[in-house]
Amino acid sequence: MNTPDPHDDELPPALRQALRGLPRERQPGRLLEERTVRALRESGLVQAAPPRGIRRLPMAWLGGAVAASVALFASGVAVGQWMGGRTTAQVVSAVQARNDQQTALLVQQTGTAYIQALHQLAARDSAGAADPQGREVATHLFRAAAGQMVRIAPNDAVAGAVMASNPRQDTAAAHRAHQQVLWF
Amino acid sequence: MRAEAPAVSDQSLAQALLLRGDEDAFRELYTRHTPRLFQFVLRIVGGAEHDAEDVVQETWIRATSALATFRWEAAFGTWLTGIGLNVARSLLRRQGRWELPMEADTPEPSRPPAADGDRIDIERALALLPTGYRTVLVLYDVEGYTHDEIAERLGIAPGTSKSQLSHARRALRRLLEPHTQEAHEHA
Repeated sequence: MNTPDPHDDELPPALRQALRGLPRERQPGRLLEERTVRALRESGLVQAAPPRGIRRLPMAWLGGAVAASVALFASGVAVGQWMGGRTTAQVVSAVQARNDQQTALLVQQTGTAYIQALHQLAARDSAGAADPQGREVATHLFRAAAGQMVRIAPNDAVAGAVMASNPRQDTAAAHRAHQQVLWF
Repeated sequence: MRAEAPAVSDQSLAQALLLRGDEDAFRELYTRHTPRLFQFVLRIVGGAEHDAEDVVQETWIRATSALATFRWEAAFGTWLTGIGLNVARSLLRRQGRWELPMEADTPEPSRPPAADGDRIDIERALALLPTGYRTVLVLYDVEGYTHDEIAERLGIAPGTSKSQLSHARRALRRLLEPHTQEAHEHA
């Protein structure tokens, strides 16, 4: 570096100090670095680096990332299966519950209709206008209902008593009635 | 406050660049040295930023090409600045702006109107100097080179460097003188 020389007196100290104090660094445009790197790549002086974010990852980090990914995948599969199983069970259960409700509703509706029909039959019988065929059909259905009740509730006393009462005569009468009744 | 030494030396980075073409190593060197190089070159070319960026890019290409020949007897930044000076001179020569040594009867630059007050700032005054004057003055008074170093870098005699500096300083002082003083002198 320089030392004072005879020419120094030509520069006032303040100006000399100002020149020495001028900024020594300045940032060029942001694109210059990429421009320069590209020129160096094209001339083969620099090899293109892998994309940032991957090249600086240490192997241990990569291993950990892979293990974490596998664990995440496995837990995802397990949770998915559990969720799927739970959903299926819920659907089956819901369908079953719906079927039970529908069956019970059907029993109630047809049973009510059966009782109302018997009520009308009884009223006509009281007036001496009842058709014997109606009575036979009613008895046959009553026994059939009692037969199903015995299957549902084997210890039910009413159903058992119905089934135990003169089954042959009732069956024959019901068979005849079945042949004469137009089912709808 | 002391600046901390970089974790990886310039020489290690240069070696990685030279042996493997390591882009990361180049970018690190670029980040460390370009601001200094750019400011220096910008003054030499008279403040034209586009020219200065071209010079910086060409400087890095030449430096990377010649990395194997650098013997690390000087600092990497000093070596880089020397290449930058040569590239800047080449550019100025192509543009017909390089004159050194300047003739003794070279007309001094005319003083532009001051933007504010009655002074122009030093950077603007430097940019107005003839190229040869400016180069010697920047190397000596701003960068702190000796006349022998300047002579060696510019391929001129040390005496020529001194005389050019003398002319450059006189021209700079004229440019920086307040208008009022100039008016008195003319009166």
